[in-house]
Amino acid sequence: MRNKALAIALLLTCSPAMALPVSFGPMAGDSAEADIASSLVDLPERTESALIDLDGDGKGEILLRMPDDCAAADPGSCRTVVMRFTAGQWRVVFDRNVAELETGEAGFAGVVGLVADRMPWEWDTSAGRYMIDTAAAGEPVALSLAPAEYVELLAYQFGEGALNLFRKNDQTSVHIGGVNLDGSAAGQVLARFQGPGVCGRVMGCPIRVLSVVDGQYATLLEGSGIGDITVLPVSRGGWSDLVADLPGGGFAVYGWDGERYGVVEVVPGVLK
Amino acid sequence: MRKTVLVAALMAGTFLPAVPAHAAFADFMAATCGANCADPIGERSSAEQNWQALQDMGTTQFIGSQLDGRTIDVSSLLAAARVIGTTELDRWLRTGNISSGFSLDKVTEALGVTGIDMGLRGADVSRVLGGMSGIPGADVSNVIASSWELPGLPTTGGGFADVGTGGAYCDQAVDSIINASAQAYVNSVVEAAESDMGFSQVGGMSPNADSHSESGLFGGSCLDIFMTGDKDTLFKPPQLGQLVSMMSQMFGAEAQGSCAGAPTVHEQVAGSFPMGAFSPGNGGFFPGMEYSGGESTPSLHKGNNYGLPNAAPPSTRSSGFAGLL
Repeated sequence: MRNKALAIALLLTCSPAMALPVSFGPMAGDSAEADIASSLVDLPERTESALIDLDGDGKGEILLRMPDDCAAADPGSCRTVVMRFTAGQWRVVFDRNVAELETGEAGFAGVVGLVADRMPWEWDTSAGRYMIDTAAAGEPVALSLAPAEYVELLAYQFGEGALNLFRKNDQTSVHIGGVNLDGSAAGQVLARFQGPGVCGRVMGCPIRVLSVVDGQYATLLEGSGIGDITVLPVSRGGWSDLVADLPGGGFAVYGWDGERYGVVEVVPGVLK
Repeated sequence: MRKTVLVAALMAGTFLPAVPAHAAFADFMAATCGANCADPIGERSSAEQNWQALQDMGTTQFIGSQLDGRTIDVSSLLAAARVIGTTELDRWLRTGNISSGFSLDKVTEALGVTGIDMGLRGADVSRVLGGMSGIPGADVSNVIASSWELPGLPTTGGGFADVGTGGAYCDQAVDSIINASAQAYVNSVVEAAESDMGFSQVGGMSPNADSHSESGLFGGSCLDIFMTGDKDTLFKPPQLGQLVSMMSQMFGAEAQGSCAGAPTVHEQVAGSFPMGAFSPGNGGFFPGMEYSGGESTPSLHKGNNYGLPNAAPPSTRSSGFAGLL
């Protein structure tokens, strides 16, 4: 009841979403949004807020930015939370460290997407929250079944156990796709091992980025993911970032560290 | 009417797990996915597939091993497999390599899901799976036997039989000790210490497996028994006195567990320790340290250190991606 009343109050003050950077302002401690927000997250002393109608239902969504809760490695990337009033109550539908947040285009169910640090996030009705749209963020890698003559060698790149399993279970497979992450002529191979028991329900299926060095494979990336694996239009040291979907709507971003790829960020999916 | 009831009962017996099994898996699922798990059917199916894969790879041999002061059991192994999948779990247990610090944290957390009653009752291993989750192919007698009640332990050197066929589990470990498990373990710790961004694997795995650590988290199946305390990132070199004492317990007349009934292994090893490696001046193992003929004539096993049969690496060398894509 109290939430409904507050929602109605917010209805009077929110602004419609436009494809613009979100402009945050200081949030008054005695405001309606502060009351709602504090019931869902621990608010630091300094919290900024914005009220934007993201779903076009006439009720304002609450957007929060916490300038005192920022990433150690990137002080400009601070915790940003979006709360939406759905199914009779306020819920946190987006929560991550962001340097720049923009509203995007209206997407599924008419809910406006978010663009967080140039990464598009779309509303996912089944999950009831924003999910990153990895495919839209860059160039998804097209994967196909590895040719039979190479598949054992490729399976071995996932470990001795993987090769053993591949030889024992004909339902396991290696899917590969060509990528060019550094602009070189040779390019690289992205490979994913999959099959019964291969993939974790939290981290997904093992993936590798391989290059050929002296006639042998060299592993440039060890990671995991399901669904799309996307080459992002941003790079580090001349090597493009990659992002892989994780089960439950999460994702992992991989970046070049000068020698190989490492995990830049993991946002686990919601599985429970 | 009675016929209907009978048919229903038979169908229940055929398609549904026994009540205790359901209860046991419910505990497992609550511990891993939560009490209100969104996909209980998927979780169960995944656990069944994971168990089969772990068996196929021989990863189940790690059941009974100690890691960070905790004993790996069926539930913890399955919980860890649930996080990163079976092949990545197998690789981590064998080599210590994992793709990210995030995965490591999650797997370590999952390994804490221990002690869930999976129906284990002594040597009655037929209940392990039947009582756990109705996982098909429930013959894990070899797994359990090789971990806890190794029968017919050969004490002669030479080739290593497969685990699961009454193989040379401890003999392999002893051989690993004699050769280079400890040094390989140190090497892996150094690799991990030198890594950044939260991952430890450097480079890839070439077909001849020369470019990655072989030592694993345990550095040799029975070797972990020698390692006192937690095997965290800080490696504590064993002292010779400890080793001899522990060997006596491990292989001597009072031996228990997987290495029981193998007193001759103790005798076999007693005269063949690389004593130079334990010189007081050095204080333990160090990378690059010479023993067993020094680095110029390494006797390191290029296979695993656990008595598991090595996968024969594919012989094909990649000459590029022209034919691959």
